Amino acid sequence: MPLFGKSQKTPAELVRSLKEAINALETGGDRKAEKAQEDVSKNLVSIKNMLYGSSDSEPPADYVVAQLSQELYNSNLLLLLIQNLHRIDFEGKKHVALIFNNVLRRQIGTRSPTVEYICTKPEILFTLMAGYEDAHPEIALNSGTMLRECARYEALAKIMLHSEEFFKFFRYVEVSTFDIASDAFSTFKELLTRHKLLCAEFLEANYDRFFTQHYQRLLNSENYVTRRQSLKLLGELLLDRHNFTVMTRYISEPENLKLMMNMLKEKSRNIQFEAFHVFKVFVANPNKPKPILDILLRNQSKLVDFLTNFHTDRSEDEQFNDEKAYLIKQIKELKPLPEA
Amino acid sequence: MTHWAPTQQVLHPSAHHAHPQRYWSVRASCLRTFGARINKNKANLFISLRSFLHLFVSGAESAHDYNKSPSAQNGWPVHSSSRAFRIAVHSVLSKYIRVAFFDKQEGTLTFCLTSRGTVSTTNRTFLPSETAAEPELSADTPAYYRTRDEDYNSINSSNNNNNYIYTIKTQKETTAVVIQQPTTNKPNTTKAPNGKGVIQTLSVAELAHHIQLDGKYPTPAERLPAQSTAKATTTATLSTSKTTQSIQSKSTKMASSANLNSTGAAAPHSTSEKQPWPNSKDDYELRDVIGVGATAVVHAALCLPRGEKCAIKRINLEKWNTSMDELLKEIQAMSSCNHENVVTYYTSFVVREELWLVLRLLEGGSLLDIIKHRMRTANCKHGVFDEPTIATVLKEVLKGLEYFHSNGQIHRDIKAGNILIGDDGTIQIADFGVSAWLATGRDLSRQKVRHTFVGTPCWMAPEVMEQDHGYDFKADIWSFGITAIEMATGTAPYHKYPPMKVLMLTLQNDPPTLDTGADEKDQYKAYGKTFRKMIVECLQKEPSKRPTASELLKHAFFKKAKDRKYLTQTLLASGPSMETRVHKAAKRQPGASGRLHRTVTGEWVWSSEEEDNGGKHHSSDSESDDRPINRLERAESSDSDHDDYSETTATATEPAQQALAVANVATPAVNIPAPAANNAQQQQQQPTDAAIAQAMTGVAQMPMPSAVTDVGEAPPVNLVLRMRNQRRELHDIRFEFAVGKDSAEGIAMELVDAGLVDALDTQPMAVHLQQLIEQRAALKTITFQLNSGVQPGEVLDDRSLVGYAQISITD
Repeated sequence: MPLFGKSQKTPAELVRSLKEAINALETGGDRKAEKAQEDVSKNLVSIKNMLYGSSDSEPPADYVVAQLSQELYNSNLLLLLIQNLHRIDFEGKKHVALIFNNVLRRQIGTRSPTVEYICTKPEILFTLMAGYEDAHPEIALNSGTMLRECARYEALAKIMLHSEEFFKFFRYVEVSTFDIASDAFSTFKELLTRHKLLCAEFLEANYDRFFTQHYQRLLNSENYVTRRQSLKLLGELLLDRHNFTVMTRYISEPENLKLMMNMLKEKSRNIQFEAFHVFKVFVANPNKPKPILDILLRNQSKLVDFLTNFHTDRSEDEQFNDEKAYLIKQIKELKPLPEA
Repeated sequence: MTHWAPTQQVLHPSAHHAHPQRYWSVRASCLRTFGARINKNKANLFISLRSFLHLFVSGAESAHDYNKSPSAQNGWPVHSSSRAFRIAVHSVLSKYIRVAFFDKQEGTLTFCLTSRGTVSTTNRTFLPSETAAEPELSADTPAYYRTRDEDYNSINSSNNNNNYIYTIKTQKETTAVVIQQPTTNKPNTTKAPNGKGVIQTLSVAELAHHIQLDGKYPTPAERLPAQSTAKATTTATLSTSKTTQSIQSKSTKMASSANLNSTGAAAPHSTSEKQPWPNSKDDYELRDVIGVGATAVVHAALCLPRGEKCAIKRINLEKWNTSMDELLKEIQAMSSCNHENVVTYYTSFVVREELWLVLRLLEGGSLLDIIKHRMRTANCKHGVFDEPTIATVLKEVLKGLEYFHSNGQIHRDIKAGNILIGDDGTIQIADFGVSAWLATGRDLSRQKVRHTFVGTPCWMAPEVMEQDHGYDFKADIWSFGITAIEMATGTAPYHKYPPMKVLMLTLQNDPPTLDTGADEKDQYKAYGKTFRKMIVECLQKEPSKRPTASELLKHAFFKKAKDRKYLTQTLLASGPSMETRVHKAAKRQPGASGRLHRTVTGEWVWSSEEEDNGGKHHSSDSESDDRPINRLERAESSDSDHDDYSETTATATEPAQQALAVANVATPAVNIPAPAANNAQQQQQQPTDAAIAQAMTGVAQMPMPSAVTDVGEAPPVNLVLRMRNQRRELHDIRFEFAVGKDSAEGIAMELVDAGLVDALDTQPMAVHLQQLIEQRAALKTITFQLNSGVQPGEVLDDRSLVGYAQISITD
């Protein structure tokens, strides 16, 4: 605490003052809102400095941070801030995200008090997820920053993953603004890959809804970026050994194989390449179900030709070439199942 | 079950870092041979890599392989010891990520370049312990380096199966360096090599991990400064929509004003301020191409619903091999800025395989454009800009930097090329990463080499180079100091030197000053103490001693700063005029995503500015399409010492590329009215074969004159010479002929000197050029036989221009 200059507000005062300002922002008329906006900004900066320190003050003392966090929980200010994020000015939005993430990361020993707090207030998470909605595109990226910070904690990721809201991501990742869609995609991906066991469990439990109903649509999206990103993520999901069960199921469905074979032939080389990494799993499966085997057999010679000429310029990519050679060999050696 | 279990494991991100040192060290040890070479042959320092060097970027076994490589057979000492090298420098340079490795113990500095999405490349190494001992290597003897630099006439690269092949041509020999790509060319992939002894490569994404990628504003520096022909009277300022009023008064007289006015006229409709920037391609009308890069093209555009101008950068995502995350990070960096001195991002959306970024259009171009233009058109020997101008610009830059830093961002690439100017005098810092790679042309400011090669670290702070303790925003202050020098002298202090040398000079010498690059004592005496002090403060080797941006803003020097209006007078009025830029850009095919060039080695590549121009003219963009040859001459007469340095090299190395840019002769072939043709023939006094040739083909291919031009007052005549090169490919060579100044003979000689025309053809070239110029009112095209004849197996044919050449007037 500096010894000179303006007397600093205590955490409790700051929180109270910010809360009042936000409320004024929410309800007030034009004139009032302007003043409220100013107050909000000022208080946010003060809180941010309290947490991060500023150029002219010392890094914050633990007890101040503890006190501040406690005030934030008690006042329910975090939710209030997030709900009113679109009303807060440009810099203020960034400050909210900074404050939120800082408080979230706070630890006492092995405990993360803010995580525990948010578990009791899942509304915070759902409000953040709704930040990707079209209504207020200007808060999407700030919300995303906070969401991904939340997704790092298994407890919070679990709440999000198992919520109905999660399936809205299939819409968010396709919004027309590239940076918002991509941001949503990275949150989506984080939720699906961060906590392996949780994710595997989720995917198994929701296989049909996730893959058949929704993911399929992403793979067939009009949007090149969506198609490319979702295909890549699919490859990663299937090749993660935690998702073994999911993979087995996926590669036994002929529809999926057909889709990948079509994607192998797409115009885009990047998509071809990603499709290859999914396709290879179908072929490498030692226990191919009959429908899969039939498709492969029907296309046996075509596939061999195709793969032989597939991305031949990747000569330096040893792994790819090994895999390709392996696939070609496998396909050449394919034999129909003995009639039962 | 196990044998088909996925061979690829998902790695924890940190696993990527498992062996970076090994990876680099092996390569570095390979590079050390270059060092050994340095000892043997000083004259060919750095670049005489006689034979193929396979630089394996893999594990120990590769080091072994290396021992068997041709270089080893040549008897060059091979150091196979693998030392742990530390990544010393990394910074995002346009589409490349620069990496340098500095091993103090060994005294080896290795400079590498990784292009995004690919991992390896490397250039040269430098042994300070050896070179420092050589007197001729001191800063006083740039001539040494000049010679050396001329040694490599061109460096081309090609990407063959992701092996990057640098072909280095020197006067004596041609050398190729093959840099083999590691197996992973998808840096962000989570797939690990499957235990084949292939080392984990350090991905670009990881290199960039510590770096905040910055989005770069694409446009103006990509554009062409106007030719010197742009008269001072045509100082059209076309405002951005926010200041539409100024349009009407000014841009009326110009030939191309129709174009401009339509742009400007739309602006007043922009009453619906609230409407967000739309995400549909149909809502934008693409206009002139104002910048072209390797994977993107930048257009000026009009947003129809808003009636507002903007710049649209179209990035070809299919060529963007890296994961989209990186792109996103950069766009986020851009969108998290909201400051009048930082370039403004509006929106972005996907159009088929392209990403369109909608940005604010700053029409004044980059500061570098203006500097270049000024240096071409005026005597800048004693300084480019006066102190008030410098102070005004730099103060705005500082405000932007202050904002950046308060955001926790470091720009890392502050320099004149990244400072943009709006027509109202607004100064914005551009270039955070995204557009960075678009602006590649600019980034390679001081290099005449191809875009695959490394940019000069002229602006880089010492601690960024070394990175003992990492670096912070003070690195930007250093770059800012260099930029201050650049604004005064026109160039960064060590611009004459190759990148490696710059690193060494920066690390070893005292910090540069205004006079570091001076050719004469007191050359820059016009600049006062306050300015010099400010530079000294910024350029302190110890970062903590440098002032912060906020502190610097209080420096006495910035009391000299004036307002925007002042800049419109001092910078824009004398700058490359908009109408020229638009005019020139309009010649390009709108909608083409870049231009293809055929390189010396024969493959087609996407052009960047650098390829088009080379040398000091790099920023002048497609000017070279129009007049590469004449321009050299003009530059020669007006520029100072270092310029004819670069010019020499430009002449020697680049013309083939720059002039042979595959230009579209857009003029439709229309039959000329018979009387005119007759007239042309009657007046013809020179060799009849040409007359016949012309009658046969020239007439048939006569371009329609677009307007009857007033021939009395002589604006330069734009011409295209179409002929076959030594490989018998048709090329268009564009140039300009200033009537009264240029002589046909002189031009022909230049063409010969530049290696574009066979010496045997000097005479017919001169004769017919002269004829065309004299009769330009009636005659627009002329086809004539060449003395150099045809190659074995070819049949003389004027239609397909075998053994013939054709000169046409293009405007």
